[in-house]
Amino acid sequence: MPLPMLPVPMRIRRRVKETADTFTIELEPPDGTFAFEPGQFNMLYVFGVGEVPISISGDVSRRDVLVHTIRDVGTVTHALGRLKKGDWVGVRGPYGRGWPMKIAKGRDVILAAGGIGLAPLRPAIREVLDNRDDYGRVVVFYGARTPGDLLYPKEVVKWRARLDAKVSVTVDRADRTWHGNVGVITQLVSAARTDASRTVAMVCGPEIMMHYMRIHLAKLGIADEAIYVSMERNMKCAIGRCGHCQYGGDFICKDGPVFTFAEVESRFRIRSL
Amino acid sequence: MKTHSIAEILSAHEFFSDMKPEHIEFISGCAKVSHFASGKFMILAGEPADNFYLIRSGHTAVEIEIGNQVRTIHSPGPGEFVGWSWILPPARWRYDVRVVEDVSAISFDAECVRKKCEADFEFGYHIYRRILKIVIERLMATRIQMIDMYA
Ligand SMILES: Cc1cc2nc3c(=O)[nH]c(=O)nc-3n(C[C@H](O)[C@H](O)[C@H](O)COP(=O)(O)OP(=O)(O)OC[C@H]3O[C@@H](n4cnc5c(N)ncnc54)[C@H](O)[C@@H]3O)c2cc1C
Ligand code: FES
Repeated sequence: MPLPMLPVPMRIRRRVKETADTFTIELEPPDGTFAFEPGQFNMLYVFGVGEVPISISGDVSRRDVLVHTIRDVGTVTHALGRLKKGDWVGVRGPYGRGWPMKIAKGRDVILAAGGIGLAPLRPAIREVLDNRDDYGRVVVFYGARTPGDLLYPKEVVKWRARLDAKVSVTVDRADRTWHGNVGVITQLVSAARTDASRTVAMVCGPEIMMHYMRIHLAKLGIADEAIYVSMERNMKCAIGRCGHCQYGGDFICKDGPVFTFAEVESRFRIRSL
Repeated sequence: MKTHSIAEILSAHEFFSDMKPEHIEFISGCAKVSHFASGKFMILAGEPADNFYLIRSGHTAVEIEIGNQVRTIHSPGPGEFVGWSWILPPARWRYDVRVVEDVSAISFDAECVRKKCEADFEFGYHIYRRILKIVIERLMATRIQMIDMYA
């Protein structure tokens, strides 16, 4: 078994530009297999630059490839963006507690993503849509800044064409070439039509978006215990040892990144935490 | 297929919930069913705000021209009201509303509703209170839209 802190070198077998500032890399696990659960993350190490936590955004059933979608926001993510097919990345993981896939079975499911938040949520969306009969009503909401910022547009079009799930996409602003919704993601929520008492909501995006989504989900009658959010803080060890990601009494790397809203409510949106 | 009267359609809408039947009956008298084909404008900025709409099916785009660019700022769809400028003077539209997907709507005669609001304060209170709720929701949504939440 590899040492938990030692990155495993993996080769980039494909790189896809998603939007102006976001790209996807597909990595080859050296022994050809990598298992993970939706919502888990890896520590990606760019040799000589540094290491960052990035969620796994591929398919749980595809173990031969490890997919990460990354937004270039700073030193390490920028260095990751400069890597090409054939280059090497150090990988540690998978880490953390992911989305509540077992709890969601047999219940209505709302999956809501904002911006880059679709990347950590995509494995959960795929899992639900691929095993559609295991769930009640399925609703997917996705919001982005502009049409040009939408991730995985071809895949989202396929989701929207399904008759067994309600998939709504909205952008904050658009020109006339966009024929879809314009407006905030929270405005889509009232159309969810799920049974609040048996709904599980998984929400992923910037904290401010998750905050507003929770207000609107609560209006539908969905309890904080059934609303799951994925939290982000800076990380170092990713295995609950260094305390870098401490969030009140929890370590995001080990106890999260996915928490119920009830678990984080008292700490949510407190900047110092 | 059973066709519903305008009063029945309005009674089923959240906006009119708990409103007195005679008030719903009255406002139904100011309303008719309208259809708009995709590409047409339901509302044009600068024109008198003579009607407002409750969309039953289809989609619209509230547009604003900035320089030589047209920006969509909101996209009202089924169940949503379109048009507020009729409420207060000068009662002229401030934005264009373009039909993106064929619209079937209930169209209200603004003058008819305005007159009734002035003549019957109880009716007016219920209408304005409900409109205020929608305007507050829109204002909240616009504020969230402005903060560039996904940046
Ligand atoms: C569990 C977990 C999963 C994540 N999954 C993903 C993912 O799938 N895809 C992805 O692109 N990112 C993801 N992130 C965020 C990612 O880890 C950070 O963007 C990254 O660590 C930034 O490092 P950097 O060296 O590039 O930027 P730095 O040089 O450290 O920071 C540069 C600038 O970016 C800002 N910044 C730092 N972190 C973030 C952040 N999280 N969001 C926005 N701005 C930030 C800083 O405030 C600073 O202004 C995840 C984070 C966590 C904790
Ligand atoms: S990153 Fe070290 S405890 Fe979480």
